[in-house]
Amino acid sequence: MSWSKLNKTIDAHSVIPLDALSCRDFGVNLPANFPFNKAKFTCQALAMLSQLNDYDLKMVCADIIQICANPNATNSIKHSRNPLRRLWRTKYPFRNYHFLIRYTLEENNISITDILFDKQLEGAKNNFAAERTMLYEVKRQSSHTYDKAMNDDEIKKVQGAWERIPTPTTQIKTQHAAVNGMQNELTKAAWLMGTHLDRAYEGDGIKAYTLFHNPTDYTKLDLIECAFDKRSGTKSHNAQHLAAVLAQNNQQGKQVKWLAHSQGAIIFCAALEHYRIHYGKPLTGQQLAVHGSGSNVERLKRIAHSVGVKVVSVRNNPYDLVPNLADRSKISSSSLVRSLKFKGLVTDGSVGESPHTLPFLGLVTYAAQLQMLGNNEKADIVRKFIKTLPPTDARL
Amino acid sequence: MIKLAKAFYRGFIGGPSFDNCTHYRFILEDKLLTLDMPSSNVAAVPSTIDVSFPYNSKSWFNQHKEDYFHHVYVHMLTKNWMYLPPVSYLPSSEYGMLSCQLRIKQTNKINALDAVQLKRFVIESYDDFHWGPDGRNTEIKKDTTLESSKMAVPFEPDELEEEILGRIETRGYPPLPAAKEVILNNRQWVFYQVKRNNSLSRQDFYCLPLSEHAFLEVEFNHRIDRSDKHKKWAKHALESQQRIMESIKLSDSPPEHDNLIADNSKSD
Repeated sequence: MSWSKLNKTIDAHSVIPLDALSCRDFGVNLPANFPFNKAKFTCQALAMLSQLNDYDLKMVCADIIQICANPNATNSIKHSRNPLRRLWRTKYPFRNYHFLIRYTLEENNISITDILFDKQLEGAKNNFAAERTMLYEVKRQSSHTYDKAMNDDEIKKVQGAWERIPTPTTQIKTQHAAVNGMQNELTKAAWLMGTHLDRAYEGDGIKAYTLFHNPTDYTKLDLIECAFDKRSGTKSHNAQHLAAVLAQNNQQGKQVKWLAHSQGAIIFCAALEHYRIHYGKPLTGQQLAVHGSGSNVERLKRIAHSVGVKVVSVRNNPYDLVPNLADRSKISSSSLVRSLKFKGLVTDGSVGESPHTLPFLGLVTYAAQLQMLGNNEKADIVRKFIKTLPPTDARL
Repeated sequence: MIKLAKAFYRGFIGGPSFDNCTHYRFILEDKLLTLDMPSSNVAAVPSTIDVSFPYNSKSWFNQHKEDYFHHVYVHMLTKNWMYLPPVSYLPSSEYGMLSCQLRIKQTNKINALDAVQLKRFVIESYDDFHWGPDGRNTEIKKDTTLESSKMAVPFEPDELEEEILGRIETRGYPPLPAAKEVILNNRQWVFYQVKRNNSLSRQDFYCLPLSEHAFLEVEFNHRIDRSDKHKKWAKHALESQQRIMESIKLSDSPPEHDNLIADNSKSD
């Protein structure tokens, strides 16, 4: 026999005092330094907290602790003027997190009534440096996809195939998810990652996916972020956040097909390394496809294998300098020279020309695209290389 | 070397180059539409384009129409131009892209020849779509109202209104500035912009009435990939847009251009 006694006096409005132990009954792990004597929660606020991953919860708690210390402050939205906060990529670059905490002040205590996304801080921004690392659900707008060399109208349509303005979400509710590369603001990342997912998981008929948006902080800081994630110490705040998302997926038994593009692969690798140290449990049901890898693929495969993530495919253009430089274990003088000859196209190329930005559709298509642009010399180089490959080579 | 120095002076490479223009002629029933369009600088497969557009025919329109958000149109021509840094040392450094698309739209809701009605129509079709039963703004309003009703302390009515409008600003489709009339080549066009406060990317639309129920629409899509570099190419893109618009001329068609089948068999 089993039984449960319902406490009918508790509803969304009920205020619940918590302590370090009782908060766990509600599925919320608050930090040890949380001021339990000063802050109370409504059931509704607790329900929201229990939806958050560890990283979001840690950041929201930091904001609540700040409110407890300064309960009469009129506004807590303030950008830090400390330049080191931006430079030191393991630290969150903003003073406050992107959740709006609604509270009432009762004598010396605060009562947290609701926690929701802050409409002023979420989403795309005119100044990309103000965009936040967040999860967004991106829905498909049309069936257009980048699967061949295209005409002008099709190129325009591919860029409009996914929602331009995605909706923020606290959890991954889709079967597919992606992590974007460097210098991708939100609107660009939304369509570009949709395009990459279409190629990575062909035949899945993806209607929506979740974007783990790695916001750009302009060129130099994006590069510094890569360096932080490649070293063996504490990883960037992006990687820590992604590790918490992976842990939440694992806890909820969600099976997610991931895609990591360019710097996204570095962040994914760093997140797995962070996960192994701080969470440890095997990550079951997570698959990963890598495009234009900015990470050393062998290192990524090794860590993925050790935590139980399956790397299903790696799609790199042999003429893309980025994976050639990143994958130092496999680099040969011939592959480096080959990609260096095309360096100008990686950095200065355009849609359909750069071997890095859009998904790699095979060397035959790439040669055709180069010819379309009148770049016959480079097209000939690619065609000569194609002749040296066996007909079964996957890169064709 | 001179090219590179010039690119550094301008701050970008790419964009429409009027040294390399194609002259296009389209037959719009009894009218001839001509324009000069710079070649794309994006790798694209050459496509066959129609040259005749019987814009008054409903069956033709229904057979060829495409839709995207509130736009229902028959495509005529598209060109894309990337803007890129003079020298770059990292991938994904594109500054952005300017696209131009010509298309025919039909409507039986207004008299398109009346500029006042056309100005109202273009804005209303945007609002009606996004505030329609399946529209994004309607969804945001519904979700926010539901969320508020479940909150421990629901929003007051004015707070709820403010929250809905705020969310529409960030993740919906906010109201557009009013359409206005512009004169180009002695013809009156209706101009409107689809833009939002949290993004520099925008679309500029020019509409030219062709008959009571049809009009030509020229869309310029300014896709900004790097906000910090937009200043460098914004002026060039706007000047190019103006130059393309000034090249568009509509005149009476010579009598030999009345065979649609023969015209449409020609290709670019």
